[in-house]
Amino acid sequence: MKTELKEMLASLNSPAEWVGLRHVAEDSRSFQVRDERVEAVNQGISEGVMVEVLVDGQFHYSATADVSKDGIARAHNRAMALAEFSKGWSLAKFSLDQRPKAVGSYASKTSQTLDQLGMQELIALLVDSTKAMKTSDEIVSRVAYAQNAVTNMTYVSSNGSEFDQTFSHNFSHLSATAQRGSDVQTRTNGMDVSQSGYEFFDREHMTAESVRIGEQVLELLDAENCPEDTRDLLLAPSQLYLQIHESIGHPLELDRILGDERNYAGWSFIGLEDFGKLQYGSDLLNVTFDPTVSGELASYMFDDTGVKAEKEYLIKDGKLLRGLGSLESQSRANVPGVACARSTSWNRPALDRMANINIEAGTSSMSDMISSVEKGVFMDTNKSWSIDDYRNKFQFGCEYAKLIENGEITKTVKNPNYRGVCTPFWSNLKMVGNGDNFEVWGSFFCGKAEPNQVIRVGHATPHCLFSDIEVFGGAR
Amino acid sequence: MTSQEWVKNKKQAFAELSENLFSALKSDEQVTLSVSGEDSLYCRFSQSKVRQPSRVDQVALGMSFIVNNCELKKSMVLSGDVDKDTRKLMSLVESARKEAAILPETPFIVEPKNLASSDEDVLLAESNGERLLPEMVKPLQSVDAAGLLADGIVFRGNQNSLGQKHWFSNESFYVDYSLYSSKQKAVKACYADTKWDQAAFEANVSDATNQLSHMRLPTQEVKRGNYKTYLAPAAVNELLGLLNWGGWSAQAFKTGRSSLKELAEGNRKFSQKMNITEDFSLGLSPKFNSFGEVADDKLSVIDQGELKTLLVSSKTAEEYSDLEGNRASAGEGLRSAVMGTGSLDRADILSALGTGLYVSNLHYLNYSDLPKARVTGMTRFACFWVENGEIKGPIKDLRFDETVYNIFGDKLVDLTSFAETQPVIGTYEQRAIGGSRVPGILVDEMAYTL
Repeated sequence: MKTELKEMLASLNSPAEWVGLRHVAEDSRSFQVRDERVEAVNQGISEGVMVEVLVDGQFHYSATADVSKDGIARAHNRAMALAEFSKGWSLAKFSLDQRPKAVGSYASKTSQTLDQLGMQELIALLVDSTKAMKTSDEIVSRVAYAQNAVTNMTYVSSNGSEFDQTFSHNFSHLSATAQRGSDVQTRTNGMDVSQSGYEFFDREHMTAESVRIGEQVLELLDAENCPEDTRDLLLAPSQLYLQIHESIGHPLELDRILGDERNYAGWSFIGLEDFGKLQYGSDLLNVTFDPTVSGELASYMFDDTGVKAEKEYLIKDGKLLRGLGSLESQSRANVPGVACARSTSWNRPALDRMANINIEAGTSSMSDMISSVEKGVFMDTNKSWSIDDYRNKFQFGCEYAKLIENGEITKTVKNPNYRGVCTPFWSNLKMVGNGDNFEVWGSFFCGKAEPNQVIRVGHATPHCLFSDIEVFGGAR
Repeated sequence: MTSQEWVKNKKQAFAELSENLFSALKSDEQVTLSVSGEDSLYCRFSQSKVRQPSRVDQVALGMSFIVNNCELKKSMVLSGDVDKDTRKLMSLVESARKEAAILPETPFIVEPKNLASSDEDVLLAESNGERLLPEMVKPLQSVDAAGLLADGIVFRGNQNSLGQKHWFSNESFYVDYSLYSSKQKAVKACYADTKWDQAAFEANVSDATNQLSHMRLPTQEVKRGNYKTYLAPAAVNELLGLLNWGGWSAQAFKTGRSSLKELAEGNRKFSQKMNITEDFSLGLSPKFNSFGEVADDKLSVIDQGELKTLLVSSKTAEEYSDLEGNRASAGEGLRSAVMGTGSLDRADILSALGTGLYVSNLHYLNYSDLPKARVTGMTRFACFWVENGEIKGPIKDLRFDETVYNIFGDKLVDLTSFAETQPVIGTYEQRAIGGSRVPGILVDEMAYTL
């Protein structure tokens, strides 16, 4: 594809200061089984090119699924027409500095294809997973889902960039819902994701997870509501990943801080003046932008504008150092950023996005953390999330919780929720788990931008303990 | 190329592609094709200046392929070259045939039927086009505005191997935007129509700018607690939107995932003042669904507070013998919701509220206890503290946590005598279509928790 794109680029004879062509092709497969019966076997293929032109210091975009020479020429002309009509109204002035030359190649590490695993075996695995969840007649629904998406991106530009990246992203979801009278409880494996091949759908792992889910959902039916008070909160990575996402990742996006997202996703409680100064959390908090972690969902070599991806500390010893901003946002904000200009596919422009945003491991074992708690609660697996448009006041719900009393895990409680405000919450971080309780999570579904885009992100973290958090249960 | 010519080309390409496929099917194979497309101009803007203008020309094709009691779903993006697209589609059909031969049966298949066809185009003689870029930003130069302009043609089509055909296209625009004061307080506005009218847009901006003047009053500190609340139509629409996450779905009810479980079981009711109807006379959404079925013009969902019916797709009706399908969409959500009005006139809203919160918009709603229909979310944009019928000033954003049964039921005082149309402004993957028409509501007490 690279050779064809270079030929098309040359044939455009564009009057623009710079032209980029980003070709994206994706083949996505998903499979769903409910109650041991096949519910969906889907495949989606997509291919297109985003033509990007720099005219009068503004980038203009035109997307087409017609990847022929004529199709790309038409898209180029439409981008040039936009440049004509928006002349003089640009928000910012850009140059080739925001589109560095990039040459290279990247591919996810994979060891098994769908053909090698076998579609029949994958379906059988999902059927068996729902079977393993059937631990009682009170379980009214059992779902097993598997998805793989292989995405190939090729990028060429008039200043000599030429690179390609191939990603293989996976997602599995297991869910059991149980009902007793008016009470309904659902237990899942959360959002289990990775960058790998079909070896991700491992029979032993998925069966064990299904058995656990089937047992714990019944535990929840027997459980009392989570208490309503203020106490220590031990969060599992299956919840903490979304806490990182919503209350560290989004507020640090420079385009939000600059106001571009005010009308949709929102603004940020962070100001540009906070970088290098603000104590975001306790000195145990170390957060990195790291698209180099093998197997984590948002690892890559270059972002969608050709910037080389490297690990950077966003927060070190609790202090805010760096934002999630592309070269475009960095030039407008004059604060340091990262290689994070990403787009959902060929039909949308790249903008400031999370990639892998991780909490670095600390030194505490699980037993260290639990034994330190006199009155607390351990919450596991995200169920509900909501945060204000400044990314400050949040509320999360989890599927499953255990009380911690006098240094020991005791009884299960249901409908656990907690709420708080961003920097006070992270300032109450009092213990950070070590590598033994560190887990890699992520999401296929981070939404942002106008026009809207959804993107895949990774979040890795150990278990973490917070003090003095407001917790509460379900409706009375 | 005119809009009529563009749509005609797309319609013809879809017809040719369908015919190429249907003529190659074996006697035991059935197919339903769905198509959705757009030719859109998008312009994101901030600080009243243009940021990331883009054009998108795209058409997505979905296929339900049925053979030997096995259904496979395939989708692809069309290039516009019918020969090339046919080759790609036939390769998907070939893989579907191979997969159907080795996979277990798929239960509860909705087989295609040939009941009725439809064809509806609402297009402009002359498209708005790129000239909207300068015309949109000029009236915004005296304020700080951020938002999105979306303009162009969207279409939906459906055709099956038994000969049934549906088509719906629409050409329209919206400017979904917000204005900001120097203290970063904001008001929300939307200008949506088919043909751009510069004077109408300038009036829209002028109205929003006037509203912004209320935001210059001193900010009021409101502590957590229970307050009487007026929810403006946009805020009510957010609540209605959340209920589309499984609330009305018969499938969700049967599998324990419905937030309106207690309503569906008859254990809870909304206020007798509450009426909700699926009403396609709004004209914002096609009446046909992805199965190719045409919905009734109107379907009463809530009548005087009682649930009349859940939304039941034909697939769900196949699975559960005690349910009768009502040609709902596959997702079983409301596509064109209309909430009935009440008796509260616009001029009486503040006096009826007395002392409490005037909430124009809500943000980021989610369930904090799904089976009990308890919802949390944030106030957003122009929200005010009102005392004795007088606006005292804007508030800092508050988090609420309250059940839908209180908001639409026990604590509902009245609905406004007017309703506002709320077009769907989503643009994930493609520009969405559809909308709703809802009034504002006055609630005696809502719980604010943070």
